[in-house]
Amino acid sequence: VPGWHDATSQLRESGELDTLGVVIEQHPDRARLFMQWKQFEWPLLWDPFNLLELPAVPITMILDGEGVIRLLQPKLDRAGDVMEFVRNGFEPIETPNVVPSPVPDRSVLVPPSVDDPDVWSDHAVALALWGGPDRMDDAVAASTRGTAGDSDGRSWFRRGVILRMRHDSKHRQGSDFAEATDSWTRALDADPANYVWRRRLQQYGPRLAKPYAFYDWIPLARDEISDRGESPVPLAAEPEGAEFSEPSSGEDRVATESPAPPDPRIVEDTTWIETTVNVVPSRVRPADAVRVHVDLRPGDGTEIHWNNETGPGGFWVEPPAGWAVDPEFQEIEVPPEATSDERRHIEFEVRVPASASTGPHRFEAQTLYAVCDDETGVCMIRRRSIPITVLIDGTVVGLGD
Amino acid sequence: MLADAQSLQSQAPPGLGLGPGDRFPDLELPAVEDGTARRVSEWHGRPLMLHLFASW
Repeated sequence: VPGWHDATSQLRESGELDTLGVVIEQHPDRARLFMQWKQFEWPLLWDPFNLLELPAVPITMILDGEGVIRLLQPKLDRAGDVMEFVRNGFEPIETPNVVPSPVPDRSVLVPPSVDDPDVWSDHAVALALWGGPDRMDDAVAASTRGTAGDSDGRSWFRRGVILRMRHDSKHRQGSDFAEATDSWTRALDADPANYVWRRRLQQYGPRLAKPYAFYDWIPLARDEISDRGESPVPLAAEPEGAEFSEPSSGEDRVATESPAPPDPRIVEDTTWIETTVNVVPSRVRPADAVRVHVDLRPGDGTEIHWNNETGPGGFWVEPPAGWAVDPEFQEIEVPPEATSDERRHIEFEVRVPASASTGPHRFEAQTLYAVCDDETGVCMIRRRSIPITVLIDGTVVGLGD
Repeated sequence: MLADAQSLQSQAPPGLGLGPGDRFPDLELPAVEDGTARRVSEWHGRPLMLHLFASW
């Protein structure tokens, strides 16, 4: 895209060619930041659902003034000839092939009167795109009806997008991200050749299955934008862990000394801090890997907050024999303020042994933290056991295939 | 001499249901900038370079 931006600058400036982007990713503000960094000033539309069912991106095309595709995947190394091709105009095509507009658009915001999952899936997408943040619960409910019965990958992918959208909204529910992951896992199972669907899982998945670091460009982009005296576009959902991490062959794991796990005599907290666990992908083959995302945060409606004066917290993973975990221990950084109530996010990877049997495998993580109860004024150290379940399924598609 | 269109194109990804000679579907999508509903047909009238992409 940057290459074409440079190559077409003259034609854009002379008004002989317009440029339009359609970004096929979950978080559109990241594309806005990318555009700001690269100083692209053309318009950008957002299609997180991949409504055209593109098998992969990027795809570049040149349309004539009637909206008919004239060049598909033009060669950048022939940019001069491509520009000449555009300048010379196009012979009219009297009867272009008509490709139906992928529904849904705003016309399907009205709840369907039929019990057809495909129609409900379209309605769910319309609600998510056009209904505004307060319709997210309705969009999720519609996507549930859209995946009823023997649903196809498209409906599952859409449901995953909607659940992740709610996860990033103020209407977030604890299981949204895990359910999104499971929906995307089902979608990829249905069509392993769809690399747009695959990338959505890989974005959060293990390093073994990553083709590249997805958002490692963001720190550099922010620095360069700031150096120009501009304010970088703020991101609604900051990329975390897996979204920055580099691919791994599995051979670069560094063994580190871990401190002993929390003393079992430390009182266990079971109510103050809410925990959510998401295993990506939701099912995995023997010998493959998963990335586990754990969120810890003070419960809604409680008077609990983190006490940061005791220093970093700790997070230990105790895998079954023969399973490899990376890292087995990590410190949980805390903000400089004495108290806070932010969400704390931890990620680690688990490699399943080749001999693992089909079915759920359970093990535990342990965490140690300091919290204060504003209601009583009491501050204390607590430990927490967090059950992790990895579901082994020899028939599932490998994320890195 | 004007190059022929075929020689200016790379191979499209297998499974892409669009090709030269197809009218691009008139998608209705939100603008990233402000969420406004836009249709691709709003850009009809002059040649358009369309990028379908992701920032990753």
